[in-house]
Amino acid sequence: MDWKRFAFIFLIIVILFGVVVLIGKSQVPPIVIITSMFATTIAVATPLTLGSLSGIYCERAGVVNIGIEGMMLASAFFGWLASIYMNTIFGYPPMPSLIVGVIVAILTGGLLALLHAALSITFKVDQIIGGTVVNILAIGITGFLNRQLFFEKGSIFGGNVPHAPGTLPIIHIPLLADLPIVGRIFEQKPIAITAVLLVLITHYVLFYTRWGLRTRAVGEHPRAADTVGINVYFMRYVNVIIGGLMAGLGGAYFTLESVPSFEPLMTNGRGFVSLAAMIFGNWTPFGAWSSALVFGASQALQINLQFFRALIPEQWAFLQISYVVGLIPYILTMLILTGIVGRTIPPAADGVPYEKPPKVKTPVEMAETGTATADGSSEWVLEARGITKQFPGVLANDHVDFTLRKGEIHALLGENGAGKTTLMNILYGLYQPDSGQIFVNGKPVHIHSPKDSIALGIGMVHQHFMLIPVFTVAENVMLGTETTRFTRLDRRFVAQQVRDLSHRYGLDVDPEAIVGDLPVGVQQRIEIVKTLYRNAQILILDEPTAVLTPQETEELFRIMRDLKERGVSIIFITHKLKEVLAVADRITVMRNGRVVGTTTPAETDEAKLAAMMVGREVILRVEKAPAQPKEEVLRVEDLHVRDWRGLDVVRGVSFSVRAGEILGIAGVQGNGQTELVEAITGLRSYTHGRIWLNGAEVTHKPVRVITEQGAAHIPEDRQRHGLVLPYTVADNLILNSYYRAPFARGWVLQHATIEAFARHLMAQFDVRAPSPFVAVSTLSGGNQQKVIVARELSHSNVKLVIANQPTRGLDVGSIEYIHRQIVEMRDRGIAVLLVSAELDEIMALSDRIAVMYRGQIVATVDADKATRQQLGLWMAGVQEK
Amino acid sequence: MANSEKVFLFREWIRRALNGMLVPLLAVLTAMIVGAVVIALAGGDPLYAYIGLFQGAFGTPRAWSETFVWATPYIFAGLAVALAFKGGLFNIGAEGQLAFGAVAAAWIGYALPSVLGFDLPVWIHLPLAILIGSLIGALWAVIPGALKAYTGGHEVINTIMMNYIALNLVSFLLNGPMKDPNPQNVVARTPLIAESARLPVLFEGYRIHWGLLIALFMAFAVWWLLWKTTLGYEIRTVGTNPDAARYAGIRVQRIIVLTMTLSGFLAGMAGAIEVTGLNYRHELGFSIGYGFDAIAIALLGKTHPLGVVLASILFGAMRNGGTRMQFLTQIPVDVISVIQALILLFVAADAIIRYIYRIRAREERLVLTSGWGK
Repeated sequence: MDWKRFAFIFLIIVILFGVVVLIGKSQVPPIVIITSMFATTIAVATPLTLGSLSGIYCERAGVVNIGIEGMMLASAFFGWLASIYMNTIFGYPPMPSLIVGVIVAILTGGLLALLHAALSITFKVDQIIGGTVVNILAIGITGFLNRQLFFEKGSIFGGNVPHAPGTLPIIHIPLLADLPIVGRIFEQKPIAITAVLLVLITHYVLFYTRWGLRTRAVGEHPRAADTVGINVYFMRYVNVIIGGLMAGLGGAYFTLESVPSFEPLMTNGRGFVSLAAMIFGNWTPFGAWSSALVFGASQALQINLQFFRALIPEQWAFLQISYVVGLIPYILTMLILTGIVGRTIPPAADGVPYEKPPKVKTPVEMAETGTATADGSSEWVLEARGITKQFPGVLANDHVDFTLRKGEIHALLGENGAGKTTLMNILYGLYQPDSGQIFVNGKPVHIHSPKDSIALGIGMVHQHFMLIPVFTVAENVMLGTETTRFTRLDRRFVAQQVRDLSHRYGLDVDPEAIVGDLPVGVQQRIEIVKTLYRNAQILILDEPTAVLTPQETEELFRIMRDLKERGVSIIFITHKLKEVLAVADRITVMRNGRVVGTTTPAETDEAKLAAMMVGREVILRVEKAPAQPKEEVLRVEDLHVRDWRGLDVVRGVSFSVRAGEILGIAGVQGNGQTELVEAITGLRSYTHGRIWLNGAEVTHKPVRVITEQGAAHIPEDRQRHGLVLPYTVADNLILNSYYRAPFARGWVLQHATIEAFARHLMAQFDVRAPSPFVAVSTLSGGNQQKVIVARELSHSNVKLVIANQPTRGLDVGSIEYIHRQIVEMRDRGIAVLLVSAELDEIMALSDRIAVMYRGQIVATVDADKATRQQLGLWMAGVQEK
Repeated sequence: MANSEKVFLFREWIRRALNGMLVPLLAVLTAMIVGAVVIALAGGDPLYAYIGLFQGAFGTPRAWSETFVWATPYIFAGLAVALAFKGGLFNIGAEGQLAFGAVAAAWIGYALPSVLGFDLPVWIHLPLAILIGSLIGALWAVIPGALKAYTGGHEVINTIMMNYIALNLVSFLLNGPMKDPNPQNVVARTPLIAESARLPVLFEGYRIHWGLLIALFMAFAVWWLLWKTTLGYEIRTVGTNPDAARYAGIRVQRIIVLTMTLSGFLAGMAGAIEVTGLNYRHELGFSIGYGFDAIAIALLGKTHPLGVVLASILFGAMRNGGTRMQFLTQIPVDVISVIQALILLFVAADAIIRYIYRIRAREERLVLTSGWGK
C-alpha cells in the first residue's frame, strides 16, 4: 500500500463521516456521531474484511476466486440452519447452538472452496467459470433448502420459520470499552473482533512465515517454486481452502451476528465487493481492511442518513441519498481498476492454471553399464553415459556421453535445438532419459526431480531466471529451504549467510534489495548464490550470457573462474564461440542431438569450432540463376528498437533490399533479428529510424498499411502469429486479406470465392490436407508452414517478402519446397528479406548476406564471396584480422 | 468437390457435431441423475417429479407456450454472453445490461407519448422502445468494454460492478421518479406501457409473443455475423488468437469495444422484449438471476447460437415445468436451480464428464485426421 492510496481512502472516509456530522450536528455532538459511525463501520465491514482476506489467500497463491459471494451465502444459510437444529430440535441453549452454527458456517465455506480448488486446480476449469459455478450452486442450494425446509407443508418445521436462537452477544473489550465516548468503538460482536484479529494474523502469515513466503512464491512464479521443490498444487489447494474458511466466517456474520434470519440472496454482492476491496487494497491484508472500511463507511452513512432523514433538506430528498451512497463502493472499484490512484499490481500468476512440467515415465530400464569404480573414487564429479531422449518427432539426445571434472569449466557448445538444454534438464531432474546412466562422484544415481539433484549438489541457473521479482534477494535465496525462528522467517540470518557467500565467492549482492529492481547481471549472480546456498558443487549455467551486456559477461567470467578456484565444477552452455575460448577448460560440441567431439581451447580456434557446430555434411543446394536486382523496394535507415525490458536490441540498423534479390540476415539468435522484423512489419514500435517500402514511407504505420503497401510476412513463431490454429485451412489462407474483394463484398464474406481460392492455393503450394475445411491444427508442421507461405506469397500486390526462420523445425522435403518458392519469388522480381539462424539456409538462398551481431549489422557481403568460416566469425562478433 | 472429400467432410461434420453435443448432453444427464438423488433425499419420488417436470413443460399447448415464454429472454441473454465469449470476453454483466434495457424500454413505452404530447403509431413506438432498450444495454456494456480495451481494467469485475450500479439505480428509479403513481401501488414498478409499445402475442389466449421470433432471428443474425461477415471473422480471430489478429492487421482494442457493445445490445434487448412482450412494465427484481443463467446457457450451448437456443429451451422448460413438478411432488421449484447449477458444473468441468463416461479413449479414436498428410 502506497501512501497515495491510503490518503485517498482516508479522504473518502472523512468525507463520508463528514456528511453525517454536518447533517446531525444540530442534534448530537460530532464526537458522538463520529464514534458511532466508526463503530458501525467496523461492524458492517466485517463480511467485506473476511471476504477480502479470503480473496487474498486465494489470489496470493495464484487462484482467482470469484466464488466468495456463493461461499458466504451458503455459509450464512448452513450456519444458521445448524444453530436452529441445535436449538430447536436438539434443545441446546442458544449460546452453544450459535457456536456450532459458526463452526458449520466456516466448514461450509471450506467445502465450497474445496470444490473451487478441485475445479480450477485439478480439472483446470477456467477459474472465473469455476467461481461462477460455485456462486450458482450456492444460490441454487440455499434457495431450494430454504423453501424445502421452512415453507413446505409436512417439512420438518411444519411450514413455519422456526425461532432462531438469536445473535452472538456483544463483547466489551476490557479497559478499551470503558473509555469515555470512544469506548463504543470497542464494543463489538465476536466475528467483527475476529475479523480484525485475522487481518493481523493474515499479515503475519503472509509476510513473516515460511507458509506465506511459499504461498506468494507459488502465486508469483509457480515454475520457480517448482524448481526449488515446492508443491504448487498442494500450496494452492490449502490456501484456497483457508480462503473458504474465511469466507465461511464472513457468511456466519450475516445470520448469526447481524440478524437472526436468512433470506435468499441476502449477501447482496458483498462477496464481489470484497474482491474489489482486495484489489483496492493491493492484495495486502491492511490495505484490504482499510478499503473494506471505506465500503463499510458508505453503508454506515446509509444507516445514519436514515436515522437523520428528517434533517435532510427538502430540496435534496428527491435524490434519495441512500441510493447514491450505495453506489460509492462500485464506482470506486471501477475507478480504481482504471488506475486512477496508481496501478494495482496483482500477483503475477493471477488466474493461470499451472501445468506441471511433463514427468515422462521411463519404461526402459536404464542400462547398468557404468565405467565407475565401486569405491566411488572417480576422475569425474559428474558423468553421463549413453543418454538418449526421444520427444515426439525429435531425437533430442542420441547416446550422449558427457563428463565433468572437479573444478573445471566445461563448455557445452551447439546451435539451438542441438540438444544441450535437454541434456541439462535431464541432469537437473526435469526430464527422465529414455536410456543411459548418470554418475555423481562415481556413484550411479537416479535423478527424478530438482529436489534429487539439489540433494546431490547440482545447481542450475536457468536461461529464464527462476527468481521471484517482488521478493528480496534473501527471500529468493532461502525459498524452499527457509530458516525460521518460532514460525517467523529468520531474514537476518539468511541475509548474513548471503553476505558471507557473496563475500567468499566475490559475488556482489545486497540481500535486502528487491530482485525486480536489479539489473539482469545481478539477478544472475543471485541465481548463482541460490545454488551455492544449497551447497551446490556442480553448477549448470544455461546460456548465461544470452541476456548480459559485454561488461556483465566479463564480470560473470571472473565469477566463474573464482568459483572454479574454490572447487566448484561448472557446465557452461552456450552457442557463442568467443566466450567458450575465453573461459572454458574443455569444450564439447553437440549437433542434432549427438556429441560431435570434445576439445580444449588450446587445440582449437573459432573457425574450427564453427565448423564443428554448424556441420559440413548437410548442405542444401538450391538451383538458382544469378540475381538481377532492380529498383529498391525496402529501405531501413538507422533503426533503433527496444525489447520488452526496455533494452536497445536493435541499435542503428540500415540496409536496403532491391526487387529481384534475396538479402539474407545471418546471426546467432537473440541479436535483434526478431525485433528488427517486428519493427519493419509494424508489429512493434521503435524509438528511432525511418522505413520506406515500395517508394512510400511507412515509418510507424500500422500493420495493415504496411501489408497493403506490398509486404508479406512469414513470421518467426508460426503458431503464435502466423496461424489461428482452430480455424480451417481456408480461413487461415485469408487471414490478412479477408476484408478485401474478392473475399468480402462489403461486410459479407464470399465463401465460394474463398473456397476456390483455398483449393487453388493448396494445389499450387502442395498443402497436403484432406480438405480446405479441416482445422489447420490437424496439419503437420510442414503443411502448416506451407499454408502461411501460400497465403503470404499469393498476396495480390506483394513487393517484399520478409521470411523469418521460414524452415525452422521442418522436415527436409518441406524445407526444399519452401526454399524453391522463395527463389521463385525472387525470379518474379520480388524483394526478399530472409532472416535465419541456419547458416546453410542463408548461404544457399541469399544473393547478399548481412550479419547481425548485438543489434547491429556488422558486415554485408555478396553471397558468392562469402565463406562459412568468415560468416561464422562475424556471427561470433569477431572482426577481420 | 470430389466425392470422397464430401464423404470425409460429412463424417467430419458429424464427428464434430456429436463431439460438441456429447459433453453437454451427458452433463445434463448427469445433473439430472444427481438432481434425482437430491429429490429423493428431500422425500420426493424422482421419477414422478421428472414426469411432472416434462408434463409441465410440454404436456399441453399452454405448457409449450409458457416454456417458450421463459426461453425467450434466455435466448437473448445467452447469445449476449456467447458472443462475448467468442470475442474472448467474459460478460458477467448481462443482468445489469438487461435491467437497464428494460428500464429504458419501459420509459419509452409509458412516458414518451406524454413527453411528446401525442400518441405514436405502433410501427414507430414499439421498434423505438426495443431499439432504445437495446442501445441502453449496449451503453451499459461499452463502459467495461472500453475500460478493458484502453486501461486494462478487467471486464469480469467491471461488469459485476456495473450490475450492482444498475441494480441500485434501477431500484432508485423504480422507487422514485419512475414509480407507478397509481395510489394503490406499493410495489417498485413503472406504470404500464402504452398499447402502441406492446409486442403482440403469437396466438390469441396464449402468452407466447413475437419476442420468440425476434429471439430466433437474433440467433440467426449472430450466427450470420460471426461466420459470414468480416466483422465476425475479426471478432473470432481476436477471441481465438489476439497475436495472430494483430499480425493480420486487425485493430484489437476496437474489436473488444465492439464485441462488448454487441453483447450489451443483445442483453438490453432481452430486457426490452420482456417489457414490451410480456410484463408491459418494469417491476423491480424481475431481472435477478438472468446474468448467471445466461452464462450457464452460453456454456451449455458451447457458445454456438444454435446451442444457445437449445439450451435456452431446456432452461425455459425446466423453469416452467418446475411448477407442475412442485404441484405433484411438493418438491419446491427451486430444485431446478440446483439442477441447473449442476449442469453448469459438469459442462464447465468436462474433465469430470469425460472421466465418468470414459470418453477420453473414444475421443482419441474419433480423430480421423491423424493419419493424413503422410
